[in-house]
Amino acid sequence: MLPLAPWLCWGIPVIGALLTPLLAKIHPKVRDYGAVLFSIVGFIFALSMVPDIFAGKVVNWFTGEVLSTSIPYESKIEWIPGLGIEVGVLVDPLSVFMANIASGLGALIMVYALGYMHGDPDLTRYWFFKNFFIGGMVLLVMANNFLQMFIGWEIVGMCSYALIGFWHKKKDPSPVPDYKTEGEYNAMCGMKAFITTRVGDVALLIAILTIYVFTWKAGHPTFNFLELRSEEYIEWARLLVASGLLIPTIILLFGGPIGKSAQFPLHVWLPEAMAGPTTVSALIHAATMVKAGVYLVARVLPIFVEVFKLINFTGALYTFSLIVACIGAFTAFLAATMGMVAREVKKVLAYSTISQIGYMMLALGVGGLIGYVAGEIAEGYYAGTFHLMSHAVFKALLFLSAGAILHATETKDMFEMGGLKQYMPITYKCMLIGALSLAGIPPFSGFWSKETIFDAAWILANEAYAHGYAFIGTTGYILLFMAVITAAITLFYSIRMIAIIFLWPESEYIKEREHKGEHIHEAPPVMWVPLAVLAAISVIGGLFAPMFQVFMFKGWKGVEVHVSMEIFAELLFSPTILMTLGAIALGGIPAYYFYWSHKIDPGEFLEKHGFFRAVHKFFYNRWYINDFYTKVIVGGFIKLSLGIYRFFEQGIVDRFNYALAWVVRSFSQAFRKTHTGDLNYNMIAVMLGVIAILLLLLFG
Amino acid sequence: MSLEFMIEVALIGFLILFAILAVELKKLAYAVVSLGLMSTVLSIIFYVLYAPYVAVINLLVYAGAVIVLFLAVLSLMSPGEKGKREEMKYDIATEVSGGLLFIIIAILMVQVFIASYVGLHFVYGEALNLPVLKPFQNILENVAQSVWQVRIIDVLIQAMALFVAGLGVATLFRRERGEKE
Amino acid sequence: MIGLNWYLGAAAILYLIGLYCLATKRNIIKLIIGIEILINAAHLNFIALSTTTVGLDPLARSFVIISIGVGAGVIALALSLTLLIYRHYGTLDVRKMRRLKW
Repeated sequence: MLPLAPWLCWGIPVIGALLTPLLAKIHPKVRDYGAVLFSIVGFIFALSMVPDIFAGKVVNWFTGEVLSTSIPYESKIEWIPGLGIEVGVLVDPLSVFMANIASGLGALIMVYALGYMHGDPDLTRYWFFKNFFIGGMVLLVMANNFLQMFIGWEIVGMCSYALIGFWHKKKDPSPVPDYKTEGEYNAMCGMKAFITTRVGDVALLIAILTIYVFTWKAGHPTFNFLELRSEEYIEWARLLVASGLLIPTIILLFGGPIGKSAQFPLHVWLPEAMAGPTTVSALIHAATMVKAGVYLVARVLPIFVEVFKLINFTGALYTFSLIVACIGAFTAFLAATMGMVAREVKKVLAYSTISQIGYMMLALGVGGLIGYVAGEIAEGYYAGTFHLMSHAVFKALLFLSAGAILHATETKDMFEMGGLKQYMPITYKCMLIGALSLAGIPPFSGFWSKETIFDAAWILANEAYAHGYAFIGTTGYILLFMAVITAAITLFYSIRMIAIIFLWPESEYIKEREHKGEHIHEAPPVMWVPLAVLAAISVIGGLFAPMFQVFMFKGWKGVEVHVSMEIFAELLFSPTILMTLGAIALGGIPAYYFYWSHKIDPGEFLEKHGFFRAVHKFFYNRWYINDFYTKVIVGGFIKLSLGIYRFFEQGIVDRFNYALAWVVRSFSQAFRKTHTGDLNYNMIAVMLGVIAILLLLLFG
Repeated sequence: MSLEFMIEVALIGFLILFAILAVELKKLAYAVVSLGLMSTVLSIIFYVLYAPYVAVINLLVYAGAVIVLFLAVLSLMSPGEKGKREEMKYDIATEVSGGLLFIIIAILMVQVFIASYVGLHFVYGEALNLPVLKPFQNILENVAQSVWQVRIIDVLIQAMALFVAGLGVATLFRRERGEKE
Repeated sequence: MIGLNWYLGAAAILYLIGLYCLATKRNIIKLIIGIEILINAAHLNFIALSTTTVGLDPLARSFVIISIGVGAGVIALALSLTLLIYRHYGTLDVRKMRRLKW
């Protein structure tokens, strides 16, 4: 790697963020290109770690010094050694992989933002938070301990909040009647995202501190990932089991991913997060930040497997994995149904993001369950991370294409578009590739990764029955079934989205714009080149599966992987391929009739069939979960606060306060004269204090 | 009464003399120069006490940069100010009470000093007198190690904080000039 | 070498001078000079106490180094504030700045 790459790959974007206001003083152009340059340099440093992982040893390229002959490699500085607090980076396949996803897509999207955000008056703020986000995200994934990871976790949360509400000054009418302007609405969306994820973050923090307290009790306080799983310091886990807090702790630990990755029941913030600029949605709310939760689960899962094996308590692994898998599968289904009926193009993509992250959680949970029944989590772990990669690419592609469309048409509503194929051919091709990849159509990358997940669930069911775990086996089939149904729905809404935007006849709105002379134009090269790059990766991404597998399992104990093409054959001839084909038929045929060929008008169809209308309404209102939260949690909280306000605050506290205020006021009136506002007198008081201390020393 | 003894006592004497001058001189520019001389003497004392790093940094920062900053601020004030005598009236109350307290604290400090001498002697034993000589190389390595390995993060954070403080001071100066134009 | 006591005594006297300056002077620049004398007294104490025949304590020295940096930052900030105050009030007398008092 390049010297100090694990540090600089997040240090450089952070420095770039801090320098942005200074560069802005020189010239706006310097600021724009400077910010992009910093993110690209950060990416180069992140990329330079990849060959080290493949080689299995860490080498400084400039001096030729071998820093470590094995993976993982850890570089750390002890800060407060007695408390086990340190600052460090961990170079292992997962961290390098995530760092490359974050900084690579970050750099690409920064380039795209040069075109998309061109001319915005608040660009300094934009570049600052964007670079700061990339730095924070890479810090999160490179961290070698929970504490530092949590710092990164909070940085990305803060940047997400600031960037969702980026256009808080907009004066257009609000899309929701509760707010006056669109700016206010945007600010509210940021707030909602921040508060909802905060619920999960608090749970995560409690879990981290619980683990820390128990490592303290075991005599070696640490946050370090490697030390937590090492046999030498395993005593903390035994104490944790003995105290009965293990299961609550690992469930609370999963609370962080639930919030950050928008899983049920905290998924409600992500659709609102689309109020930000599309580049922000693409980078933060599709490709990287929402993957932080998946990263955390993938990070702790191997630790849990090892630790629970060492202390002979694999039941905890079962509980944890089952929760992860079930929440993942349910979220995937839930969000997909919402995506089926959404009207705004970015909302469709948001729902599909939630749904696809559900897939990743499902895969990791399935991996954990296979680990429980057969002792090896590699299958599910690989499926989850592989889907993470392919999803990051094609979802960023979809968002950026949507951004190009929004940029050209200046509307968010899909039904106000239509017929854009003739105006924006490049964007159409790129978005089509993205959508097909999302839907899991062979041979795009999404097909291979999704197929791997189905395969993992299939293996789980078979292994469980073979080892005599009937319940887990049944669960495996149910999970597989939900995943397949979700795949069908995914295909349905992908086709719906593409067809409505590009193929349907032009809407009144577009015609009016054309009439007024505001012609819809293809995106400029600075925008479509990143699109084309992402589209190319989406097409051929699946081919890298064998190499990816080798990469991910470098340094794993007991897993030997070689580059082989068998992996494709295994997938193509596994029984799950039939289910995939079935899903394609199930989702594709209705979608073709409703939207692609437009033989049946969906609106008329809903008019005719009351049942589908009810279902549509149910889905469109997001299963009423959002309303439920607003009514019960927000409303309940306000009611409770009002009650407390009336009876406790006004009745007791206020009266006490009046009395207190009266006492204080009389007191201060009496002593007012001593407060001269004069430094000299204050210093004389200090001298009196010194005299008192000296007297104490003498006679005390 | 060796030469060394006399030099060191003279250094301490100069230190206190310049401190008093820095406080009591009426002309601000002279007071600042006197402060600089005091810092220089203090640096020499640090050097005598086997703390070369501290000495050099003290010389650079307190006897150099800070004094320059003082003079720069004085020069930015109205031309008469730096040479102007303090025209403010004496305030009897603070002068008298401050002086009185000064004397009381001094007496008490001597008392505490004598009282604690026994205790200090108990802690350090024979070691209370300063060392004769130590190899210099060793000290340098020790301090460097301490700064760069044990307290590296503090040093980095501090460097950043100072950088930001410098920027902040620069902004304060700048905005003021902008308003005048 | 003279004894440790001389240095401790010198530090105590410096400290007293600084306190006296803060208690009686009214010019802000003088007050800042007083603060710097106080800081120097603390540094001298640190260095003197860390120098014994038993050994030299490197930690105390590194603390002093860091403290010198911080002190310089404090003084720079104080000076820039002084400048602003001077431009705003037209005086350096600390007693004239008592608008916050009611």
